[in-house]
Amino acid sequence: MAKLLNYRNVADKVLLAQSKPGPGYMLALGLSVTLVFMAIGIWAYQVRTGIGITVMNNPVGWGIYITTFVFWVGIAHSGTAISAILFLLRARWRTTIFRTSEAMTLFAVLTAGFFPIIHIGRLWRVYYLFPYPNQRDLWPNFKSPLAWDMVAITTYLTISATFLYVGMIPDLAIIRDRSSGWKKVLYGLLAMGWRGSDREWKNYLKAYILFAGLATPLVISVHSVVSWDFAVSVVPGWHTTIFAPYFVAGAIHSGFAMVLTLLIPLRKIFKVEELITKRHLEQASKVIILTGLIVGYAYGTEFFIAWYSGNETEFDVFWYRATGEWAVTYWIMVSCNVLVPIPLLFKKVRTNLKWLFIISIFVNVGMWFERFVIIVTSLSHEYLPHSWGTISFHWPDFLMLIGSFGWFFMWLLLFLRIMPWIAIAEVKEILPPPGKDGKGGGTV
Amino acid sequence: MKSYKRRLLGVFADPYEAAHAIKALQRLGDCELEVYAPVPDHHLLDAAPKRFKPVRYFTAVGALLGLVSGFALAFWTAGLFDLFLSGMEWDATVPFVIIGFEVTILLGGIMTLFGLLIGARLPKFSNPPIWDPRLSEDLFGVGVDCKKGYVERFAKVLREHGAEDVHRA
Repeated sequence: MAKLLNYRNVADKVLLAQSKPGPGYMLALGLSVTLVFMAIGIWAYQVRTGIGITVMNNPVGWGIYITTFVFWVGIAHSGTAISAILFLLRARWRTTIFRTSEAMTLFAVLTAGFFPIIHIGRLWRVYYLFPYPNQRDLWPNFKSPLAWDMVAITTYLTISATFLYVGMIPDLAIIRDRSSGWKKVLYGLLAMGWRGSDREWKNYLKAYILFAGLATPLVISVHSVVSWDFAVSVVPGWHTTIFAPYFVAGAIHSGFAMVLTLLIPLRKIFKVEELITKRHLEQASKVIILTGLIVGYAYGTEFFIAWYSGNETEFDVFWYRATGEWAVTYWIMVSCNVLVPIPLLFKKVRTNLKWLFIISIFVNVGMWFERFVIIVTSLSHEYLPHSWGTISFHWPDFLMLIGSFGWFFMWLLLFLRIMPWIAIAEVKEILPPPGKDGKGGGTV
Repeated sequence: MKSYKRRLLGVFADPYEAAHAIKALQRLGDCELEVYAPVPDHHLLDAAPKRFKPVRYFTAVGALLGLVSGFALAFWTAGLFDLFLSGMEWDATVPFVIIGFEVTILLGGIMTLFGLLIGARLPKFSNPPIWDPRLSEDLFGVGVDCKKGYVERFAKVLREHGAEDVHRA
């Protein structure tokens, strides 16, 4: 029978991750850092040689970099969905998983934010996007989706970071009180002198619900804004009103899949099976069923409307996606995003961690391919047949994609080691208090 | 101005007992209380003294400032180059809604953080006069600010209501 959780052993279990790291952790961190250096090297090579080393050319002016940008922004959405939206919905199952998801959000946004800069080639021009008074009398064009992206993603990064940090304050105080020496000073500074007084808690609870209320519309708006990078153009396959809900559903689909991909091994490695139970993972997989069905419906609707509208170019693009030279990527997208999650309808699959993990990987692969299909197939098959063209394989783009995973995992691994990766105070809140005999305990 | 000083800290394992102790102390009067908890236990927070929570006002002010400044930035910068492009007027309200909305959320969030820091009186750079590190783990505390002559009286109330320890200054 599983040992009951109480206030003291919850903190013990969570903070086990902060003990001396084993060889597995160091190997994972070393690999991540190596990939980061690889990415930096490729970026330097690109800056020196030019954007021509990538897949981008006429007519496909947006390629792997923008695909990867949208992919990482999508991954970022589930963290805020779990921590903000599920908080407002009083979903108790979010308690042990939201901190890691929020951290995942922050690092995914940090990863995504690099790609427009890498994509533009002349990265020293990126400051043009910042609205500040300058002697050139130039300001960003706020009618441009690129300017909308800059504002939306900066806002999302700021609010996510603030929400994550505020939520961690009581847990940082716990670590402060358990530490000594320089660690005590460091965590004391981070905890800002938090003592858990009634004044602090009352203001904290008020602030937390306000943050959740502010972050919730961001989940919907940010990926809608990113989708409008495409939808406000006239490119066939892009210029459709379904893009905002389609992208948001896809973002939550990939985000929850990434949450599962991370938590299934982490709970085993750090021995927190009593905190992150099969029930929590099952609940997350139910969200994936819902978003998978929405995404599948969106695929079908797009195709149907392309035919029903009578717009020949639109239908031609969709036919090209399904049957043209990139058909493999289209069918990978459909099978990974829609067909592969269908077994999750069965409880036996939802509670089998091996299958959950495999399905989550496939969903992430599928969601990357979805962005690839949207971007590359539409651009390579626009209105005039004489301007049709496609991309060919160039290694820098794909190595940058791999490098981005290195960057993401590097920050995540450091976070697990240094910060409270499960919300200790919130888990304690859902347990019965210890009581006089100190034997109070419960389950999450 | 009352010359109360922190003189006692009662430490409880049971938040309900702590809540009863708080009510008993409030009935006696002649003291100011501060409650400590490792979790925001609602029985305890309801029994604790009423506190002013300025956070929501900061959020409202921040959101309003953000709304105005977001739209102002977009309209003003577009007005500097008041050209008709692609058949659209220079003051295109619809795309500017995105900027207005995002800056609303941005400044609302930043001001919420300030409201929290000011309301909770953070950061604090010194420890409370009496402190028990177990209060951040699994115990609940009731700090009593009173005059010197009342210490024994309040210590007795804390012990009668189940305090495991009563620390004195």
